[in-house]
Parts: sequence; structure tokens; C-alpha cells
Amino acid sequence: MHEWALAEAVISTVEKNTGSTDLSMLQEVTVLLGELQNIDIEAFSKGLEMMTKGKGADLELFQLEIEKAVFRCNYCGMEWSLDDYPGVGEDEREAIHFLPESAHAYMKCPGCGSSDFVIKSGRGVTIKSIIVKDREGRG
Amino acid sequence: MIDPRVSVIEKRLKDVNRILVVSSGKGGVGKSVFSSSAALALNVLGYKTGLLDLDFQGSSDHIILGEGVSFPEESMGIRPFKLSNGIDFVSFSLFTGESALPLRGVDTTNAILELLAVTIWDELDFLIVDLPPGIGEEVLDIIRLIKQLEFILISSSSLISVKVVKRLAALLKNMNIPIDGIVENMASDSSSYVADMAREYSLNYLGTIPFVSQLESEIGNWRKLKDGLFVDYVSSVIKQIIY
Ligand SMILES: Nc1ncnc2c1ncn2[C@@H]1O[C@H](COP(=O)(O)OP(=O)(O)O)[C@@H](O)[C@H]1O
Ligand SMILES: [Mg+2]
Ligand SMILES: [Zn+2]
Repeated sequence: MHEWALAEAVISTVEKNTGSTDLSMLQEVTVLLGELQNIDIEAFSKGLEMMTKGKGADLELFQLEIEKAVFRCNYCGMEWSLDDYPGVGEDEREAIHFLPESAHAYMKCPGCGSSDFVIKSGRGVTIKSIIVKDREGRG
Repeated sequence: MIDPRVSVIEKRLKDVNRILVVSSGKGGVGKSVFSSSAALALNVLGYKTGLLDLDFQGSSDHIILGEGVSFPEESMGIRPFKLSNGIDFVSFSLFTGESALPLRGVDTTNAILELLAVTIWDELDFLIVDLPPGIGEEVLDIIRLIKQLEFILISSSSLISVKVVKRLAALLKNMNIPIDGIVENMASDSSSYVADMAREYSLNYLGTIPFVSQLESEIGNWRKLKDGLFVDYVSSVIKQIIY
């Protein structure tokens, strides 16, 4: 499961940002999971659980939000989402899961057929916010 | 928004002893044949060796080595593809095969970040990194993301190549990035531009590789390549760097 590697990246970034491996000071961490990468939430949560073990953090404080994937064509300007897109095959989905930029090898603008597009949002894993408890330990 | 990937990259490479980046600025001077051959030479010398092809659009190391590559294994991350000789190999082509991969700048950076953040490298004596031509995302991002790098510069004998390689050398010097030296590939006797450049920039002149006409017949078959003349030359260059 490569979700684990991404979960580890999230925890190690949180630790870098708070300057401590003691995670009991955390109030809330919001993580965006890009729709394009199609992260297995269960595997990702397992990863978070493993990485936070014994560090005083409650798993509940991790808010996982799916961010919709939006693409924009550099050639004709059309924007589209995965809902409007004719399906890509199994292997292609798998490649995109590992490396979202693989989408450039497999997707085309539904408007003009160009391969020159940007992934505007919903690409992969990002941290939206890290909120630390105040000194009294309350929110 | 915080990108979580940056923080784990050093950790993914923590068991790699030396990272040798094969670069030039110029295209077509033999970076990819040199990189693949250097991995083979080190492998033959008994070193645990990895090869990372960061030339996404022009990836060619899998073609040069010619072993059927496929999706890498997944276990707590992505595991490099193991060639039958034990070389650990990673390339975007493991994922997208021979499809064209039109990437603009931000996407290139994202792909590099993702690949470095999720690939778990085993213990390696050497990791060879093959770069595309230019001084773009690939060069700048690995310098930004990986602290312990050494560059090997490749140039042909032509003034056109040397002038471009000089720009990269100046950039690296300016950023205090270690350079192991410069290799003159497809060398012609009639020019001393590379040797002159080495003196001018205080770089080790690591050696001369002539045009090896049988190289093309070894492309796509690493067993043949490893026993061939080109790898012999590369091996003597590499020995100067590792001993
Ligand atoms: N010393 C050499 N003798 C013969 N052919 C060579 C030599 N060096 C490179 N080549 C050939 O030149 C071409 C460009 O090499 P390549 O490694 O793809 O360059 P780069 O990666 O710098 O763009 C390839 O076809 C390669 O086989
Ligand atoms: Mg190349
Ligand atoms: Zn379009």
C-alpha cells in the first residue's frame, strides 16, 4: 500500500510544522485527498494510525476531505471534471494512482482533444490546515 | 496549503550512500547511455546500485537496458523495479510505458516530488540519476530536494556542447554543488574545448570516450552492453570517482 508513504509524509510534515513529535497538542488537521489520485481512505487512515501510534494524537482529529479533480485545457480553455470524462482503463487508473501526472499520458481535453492541460485541483494529498490546541488544552 | 511530500524525501534516500547525477545541459551527448552503463559498471564491481531516470519526456534508460519493465511493487510505498542483475530501477516509464507524457513545469515538479516521496530505496552504495537536457525543473528540483548530490558533467567535443555545459557548471559552482568532474564523450582528437573547460572551471577531467560504433548493436540488451567496449570506458571513468 503506497498510501502509507503519503500518510507518513503528512505526519512528518505536521511534526515539522509544530516542531514536536508530541501530537497531543493537535486540535485538528485537515487533509485534502485529490480525487484524481483515488486514495484508498481506509489504507490511508491505517497509515495515519501507524504513524501516530504512541504520540498522543486522536485519529478523529484528522479530517479527510476529498477534493474534486478539475482540469483545464491550455489550448481551448475548457474545464472539465472526472464526472464528465469517459472512463480510463484499469492500468491507466493504477498508473494515475501512483503518479497523478500519468493522467497526461492518458487523458485528453474532451472539448478539443488536446493533451496540453493542467490539473487545476484535486491532484493528490495536501494539508489544508494544522490547528494546535490553546495552552489550556482546549480548542 | 502545505505540501506534505517534501518532508519525507531525505528519509526515502537515507540508506543511499552516494547519489551521482549525470547531467549536461545539452541533449544528445550520451547522458543516458553513460548513466545506464555506469549503473552496469558499478553492479559488475559488486556495488549495490540504483538507477533513477528523471528524464520524463525522453526516458530512455529502460530502452538502453532492455529488460521488460513493469509496474513496481507496492509495499509501504513504491519499491524500485529490480532488474535481474539486481539493479534497482525507477523511471516514469514503469507507469506510462511508451505513451507520450506532455508535462508543463508545475506538473514536472509534482511528478518529481511524488516519485521521490513514495519510492522507498533500499540500501544502496550508489544511485545514478539520469537527467534531461536543460537547466529546468529536474535539475533545480533535485538540487532543492536532495542535499547530498554529486554531479558528473557530460559533454561532446563540440564547442556547441561545451558552451552549454559551461552554463550548467557555472550554475552548480555558484550554488556550491559538488561536481565530480567532466567526461568527454564521442570525443574527436581535433578539439581541446572540454579539456580547456576543465582547466578554466577547475574541474576533474574524468576521461575521454570515443565514438563506439558497436554501441548501437548493444542497446536494448544489458548483458551485451555490460561486456562491451562502451561500458569499459565508462567503468574507467567511474573508478576515478569511486576510489
Ligand atoms: N560514445 C558513443 N559512441 C557511440 N554512440 C554514442 C556514444 N555516446 C552516445 N552515443 C549515442 O548517441 C545517442 C544519444 O545518446 P543519449 O545517451 O540518448 O544522450 P542524452 O541522454 O545526453 O540525450 C544515442 O543513440 C547513443 O547511443
Ligand atoms: Mg537522455
Ligand atoms: Zn481543449
